[in-house]
Amino acid sequence: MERTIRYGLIDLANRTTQRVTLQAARFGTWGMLGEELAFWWQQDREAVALTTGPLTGCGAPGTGAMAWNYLKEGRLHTLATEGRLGAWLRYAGLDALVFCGKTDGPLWLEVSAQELTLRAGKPSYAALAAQKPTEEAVVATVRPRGILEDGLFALSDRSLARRLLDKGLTALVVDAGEEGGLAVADSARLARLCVELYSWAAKEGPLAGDRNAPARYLSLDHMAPLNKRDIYMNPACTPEEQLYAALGILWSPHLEGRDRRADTAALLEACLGGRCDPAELDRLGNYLARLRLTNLEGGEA
Amino acid sequence: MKTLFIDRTRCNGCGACQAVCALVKRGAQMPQQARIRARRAGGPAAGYVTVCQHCAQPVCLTACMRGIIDQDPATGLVTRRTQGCFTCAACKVMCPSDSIVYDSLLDAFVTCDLCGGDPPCVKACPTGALRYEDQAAASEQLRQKYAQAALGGKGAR
Repeated sequence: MERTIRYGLIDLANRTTQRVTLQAARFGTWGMLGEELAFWWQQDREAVALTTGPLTGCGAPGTGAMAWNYLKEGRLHTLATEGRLGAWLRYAGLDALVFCGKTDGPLWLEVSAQELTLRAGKPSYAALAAQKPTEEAVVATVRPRGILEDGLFALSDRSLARRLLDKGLTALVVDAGEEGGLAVADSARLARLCVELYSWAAKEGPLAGDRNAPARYLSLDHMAPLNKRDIYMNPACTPEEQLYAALGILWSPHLEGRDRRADTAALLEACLGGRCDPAELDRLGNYLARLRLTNLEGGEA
Repeated sequence: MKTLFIDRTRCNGCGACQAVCALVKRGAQMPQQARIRARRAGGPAAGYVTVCQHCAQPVCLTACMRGIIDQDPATGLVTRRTQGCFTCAACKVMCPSDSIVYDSLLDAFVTCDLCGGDPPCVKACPTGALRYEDQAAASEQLRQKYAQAALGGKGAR
């Protein structure tokens, strides 16, 4: 499997932005678990990275997955979550955002298919929503209680939100424009797989749907009831779930009974092209476990 | 005539229909150009789904300056010949359900064509909010729901 990683390097101290492209080596970085991208933290130990996987935003259930990565007490900490932010970042042509340094005044970041722009201020969600470039643009605001997407869905816990606020970042607006998107190798096969998975989830009867409890993007599980504030949940607890989260999918309990390895490999093939043997996922999992062990023992990322 | 019917009380705005439509019709994951759209204008609480309703008297048809929009007199299906579209957007401006989208691959405005009577978006809907059924039956069901709500029942919005 081959993959090109495109990320935005945001230097908050110097208020500069840069788009970087790197060719991922086989099992080098095509996952996107933070451990694979340790060089970010070698340059700045306070860096915070938002990463997506090769399946993020492809359309299958659970592919609104993304992860926040940062160093905590010398160890790399990864928070997986679901929402539109990661998917729209990919539609805008980026796979990750890395925030380095610390600014002396509040800044917010605007991501479009063409450029990354840092702007001064701490605008409210309403102000950003009113002036967003297109209807579909995603607005994420950083508040002390968490990072909120579209003013409703919590994308992080408090500690990460405070970390970002401490760096001076107050909001993110990601716009893919009218022509942004994600090219896939075999769209017909991917569409068939998506329909099969969604139908499987609903085969015992349709899932509970409620306009008063909007779902996260492409999620079968995580709703946000409008009558109470949503709380952040990290659904990737086991090493297997963390591997899938790094690939950009959070498997729902509603898809229990599916062969997750085979389905993930099939989705990867449809998205990236080429052959993906389910055994390759085991090798990737082992590789990541070794990296994680190095982190634990060495205390360095 | 059978068309796409959206039960708003069941729709949670997950976007599965939009994602599958983009893959089928656009050949890539471009939700902005899907022919069915989960919209979030005004925030998630005000979310709704739009798709061509194949109106009995389609205003897009009369608005089109090139005459490329047709309605099948037998089935009521509204179709368009995209080769002749010069993207004036008159149809889009007139559409009461805001369900006409620009397809950058075809360089034309397009609408849902019901995928030959087998729409994959319906199969993908995990909550059963999206159904492919007869317009008259869907309207009847909706009227009954409203009537029940008016008489003190629950379930209508």
